[in-house]
Amino acid sequence: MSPTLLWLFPILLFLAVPVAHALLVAAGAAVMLADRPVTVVAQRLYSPTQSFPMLAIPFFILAGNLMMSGKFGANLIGFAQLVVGRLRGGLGQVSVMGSVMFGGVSGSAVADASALGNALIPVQKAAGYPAGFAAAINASSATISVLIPPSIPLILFGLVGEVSILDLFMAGIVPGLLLGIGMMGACWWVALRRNLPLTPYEGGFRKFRRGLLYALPALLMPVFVVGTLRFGIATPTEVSVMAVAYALLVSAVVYRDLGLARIYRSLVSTGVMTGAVMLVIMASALVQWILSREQVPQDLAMWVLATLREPWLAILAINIVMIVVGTFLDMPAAILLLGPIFMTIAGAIGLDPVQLGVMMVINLAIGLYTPPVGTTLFISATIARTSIGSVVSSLLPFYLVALTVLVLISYVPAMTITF
Amino acid sequence: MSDRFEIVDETSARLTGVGPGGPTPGLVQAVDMGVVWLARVIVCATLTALFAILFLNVVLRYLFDSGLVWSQEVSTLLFPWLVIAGAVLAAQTDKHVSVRVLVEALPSSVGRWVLIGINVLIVLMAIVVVDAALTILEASHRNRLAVTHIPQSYGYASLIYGYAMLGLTALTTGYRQVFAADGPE
Repeated sequence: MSPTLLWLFPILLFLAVPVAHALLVAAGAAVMLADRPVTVVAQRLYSPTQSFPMLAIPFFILAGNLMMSGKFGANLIGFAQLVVGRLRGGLGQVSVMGSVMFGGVSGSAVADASALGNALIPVQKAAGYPAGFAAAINASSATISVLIPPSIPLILFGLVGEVSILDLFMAGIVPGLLLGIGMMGACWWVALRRNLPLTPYEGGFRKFRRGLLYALPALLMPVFVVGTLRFGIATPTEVSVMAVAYALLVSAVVYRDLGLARIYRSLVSTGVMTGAVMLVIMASALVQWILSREQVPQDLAMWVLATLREPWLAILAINIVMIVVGTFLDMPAAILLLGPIFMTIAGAIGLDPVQLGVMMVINLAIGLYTPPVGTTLFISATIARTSIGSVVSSLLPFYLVALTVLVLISYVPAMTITF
Repeated sequence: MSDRFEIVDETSARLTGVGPGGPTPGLVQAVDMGVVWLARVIVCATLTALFAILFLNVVLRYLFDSGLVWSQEVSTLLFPWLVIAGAVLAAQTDKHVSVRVLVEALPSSVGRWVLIGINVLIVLMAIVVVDAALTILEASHRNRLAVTHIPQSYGYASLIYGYAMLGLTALTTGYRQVFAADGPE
């Protein structure tokens, strides 16, 4: 079955068939051509929706939607502006810091790219930032959110690789912060080189204190998520539900801007995002079934070990494959399809599964702002009203930062240490 | 910068834009409207119910050391409905990720026919899935969940609803591409 799958899926993908449908059609054709009962297709499609931990996905999305809409999101940006806005390249650094903080509530790079981009790119352009550079900052920094807990890609990896979601969440924090610091440095360097204007600092300590108080409920969210998981208080699904309750409470009591219309829009938006992610996961389940039935991960792992021999070479090969696949395939599909294969290889070369999970997410995050298929790249270029080419040329320092962090994570296990 | 961020409900985008041409534009608009409204109702109802059940369970568990024994069964029954209705809304708003580099590089008339072909393929795929799900539905109707005794087929029915609606959406999308007032969508 897998040969049919392996040639048909790329053809459908490049013919612009949506990823979820391309996976399902290719896998379905493989099942039918192998004379297997077609009911397998429906059974496998349905199986991911019976996973109780998967329920964490819509609730973390809903919590993010509720927190990022209304005054909450704007306050967070206001706070970032107070902290780093006056530095050289400060408006760019606000985007990066905003992504780190937004990552703590949303866990979705695409949602962050859209929310932060709409808020900040016009301001950056008005301040004299070239459109391509403004879009490049937004496209790359939005991906930090997939490393800061709660992170939907890390939840997915945890489920597919049977790795502790708590360990993955904790292991994502240091690389996420490193990316943040590195990208802020990149903004500073570019601003210095291009002599971009400084943003005057307004207000004093009182304004800072007020901004901190307003931003605090959002800043505490990742602490709340990791804390409740770390001390075994709740499961990921329970934490996600409590996060929604927390977002509702903060909006109603602290910001007092919770209305039925906002709740309704958040529910519908959560449905759309959940549906788009989960349909890919459902189709991937059928593909996974075919691959594991034919022992493809094991065969591939044996081949890699026989060919590459050295663990560092195998890690390099894993990174190259992930980065190439990530430029074509969106994150959930890539994690679900490559996860089991790389878990087998990692087991054979003694690579920690938690380290592999974080490596995988960083690689695939780079794919989000790399052509030909870069979701945050396209969103940011559209908001900045500029060409993909001008964004890509401005992305070079950000690629350099991301690749440096990736090398560190890949070859220094202590970087993804859990505690 | 605005003092607040707004989430925009884009699910009616194709209903409020320029309608299609061709012989039955009214019917196509009505079908899309029906598909969107039903999916919105299912998304809002299932997500609200799931939140209520799971939150109540968390409260009972941590404050009163008890719980709703049926919560997990009902949750896994509602979840596929949320997912599939969300996927239908995503199809209506063109939110399913696809690689369009090649199609966009083609001459627009060729690219348009490729997109029409994709929708035909999705309709065929939907028919196969609905047929397979119907077989399972019949087989699983007698199987009941352990605590609530609800037939398992209630969950599988979501696949039939979902893929029927995805197929219908592909039909109306294909129609809009064939009879677009000002070229392909």
